[in-house]
Amino acid sequence: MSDQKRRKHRKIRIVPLWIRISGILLITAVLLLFVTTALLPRFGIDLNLPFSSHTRISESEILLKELRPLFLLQTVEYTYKNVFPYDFIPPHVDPLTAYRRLVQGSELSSQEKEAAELYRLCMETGIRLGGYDYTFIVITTRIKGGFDFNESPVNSESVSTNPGMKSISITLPQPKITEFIIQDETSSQYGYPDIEVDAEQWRKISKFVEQKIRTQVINDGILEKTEQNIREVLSKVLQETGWKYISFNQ
Amino acid sequence: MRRNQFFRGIILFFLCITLSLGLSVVSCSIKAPSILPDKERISRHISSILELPSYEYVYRDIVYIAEQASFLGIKHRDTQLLFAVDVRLQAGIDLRRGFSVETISAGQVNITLPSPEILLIDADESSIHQYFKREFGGEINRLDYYDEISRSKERIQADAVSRGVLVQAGENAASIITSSLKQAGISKVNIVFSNDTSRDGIR
Repeated sequence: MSDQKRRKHRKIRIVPLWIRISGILLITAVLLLFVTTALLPRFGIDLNLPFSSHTRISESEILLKELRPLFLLQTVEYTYKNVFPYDFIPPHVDPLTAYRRLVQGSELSSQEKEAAELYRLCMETGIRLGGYDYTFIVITTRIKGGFDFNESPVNSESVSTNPGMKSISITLPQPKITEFIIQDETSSQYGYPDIEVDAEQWRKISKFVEQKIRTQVINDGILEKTEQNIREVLSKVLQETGWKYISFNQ
Repeated sequence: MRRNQFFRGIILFFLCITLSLGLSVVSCSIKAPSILPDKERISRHISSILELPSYEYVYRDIVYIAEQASFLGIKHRDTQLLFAVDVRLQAGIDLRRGFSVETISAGQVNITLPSPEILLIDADESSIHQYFKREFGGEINRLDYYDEISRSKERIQADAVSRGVLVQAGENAASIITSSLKQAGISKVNIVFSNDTSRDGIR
């Protein structure tokens, strides 16, 4: 052993062994305490240790912005439950491959474009699509079909009567989607694992889901069902008021 | 020499523990176990409704949520989020609760409707405007701010009712029905609101 090494060895031995062990234990204890105070609140456990603090603030202020009369009659409601992003992956298309092709500037089919758009959204919102981290959100949407009598008011042109024959003819306005509601989940209702997205990321996901579900609900025949229901209801009401022959025009 | 090796082993052991715990603090991303949802619970449903939403209030809700934690003066968590969202409240008549039409004479009917009620309170996601967010030592969860919006909804409902939304909804619904029936040749329409909600459909 060289002189230099021997001197170093001697210096270390100046500090007694028990102090060295105590030092290591103390550092470990502090680190353990730090980790405990950092991690336990995540599981809802607060130890209230001295020198530690944990505060949660949740505040909101409401302000009435607008009030308006409505002239709606809603006759049908479709409720969907979808799993984002998995329900929105077009069949037989890999979103990652589609996105890579989009970035490379390759020509994409409509399904590949949809898949690439979904992949981009997932990246923007911090959802790792296609990885081992199966992040998902179960989204409940309620879509109501009805008529907006503000846009198409009931007037003398839309109703023609023949009291002598007890017949009435009604021109119905165009049915439309009057409400698109994404259910506001709360921790007491939502039983699935929560997702880590901020408000802006959630706005983007909601917008994407609304576009897709609107197309789906129209394909599922919401407008036809809306019209069918209003015909049934109006027929009953008009029969009650003495009309025998009721017809509907488009 | 043996004793030295033993203590080196202890030191290495503690170093491993502190390193692994330290790494877990740095990553700071504990996630709930990934459970794929039961497919049978995910469904679609169609139902016939008969609602006459006749008045709407739109509220702007400004939401702030924050969580801060420190130990020995060292901040290890600081998450903050401030955003605004519109919450729509609709009041009107749910005709499924039962309504009746009674013909008094030619051109005169009495209509009994269920009382006006709150039909919808919903946060409009398209109106979200995020002012800022800060995520240090943790992430912001969606349900954290939706829980706060849910609490706002209770205040919104109380505020709208105190401002007379139900009365306005009732008046407007009566006006819509009266003007529509007048087009069908019924010149006199008496509308009464009832609290009887025992039956569905037309009575």
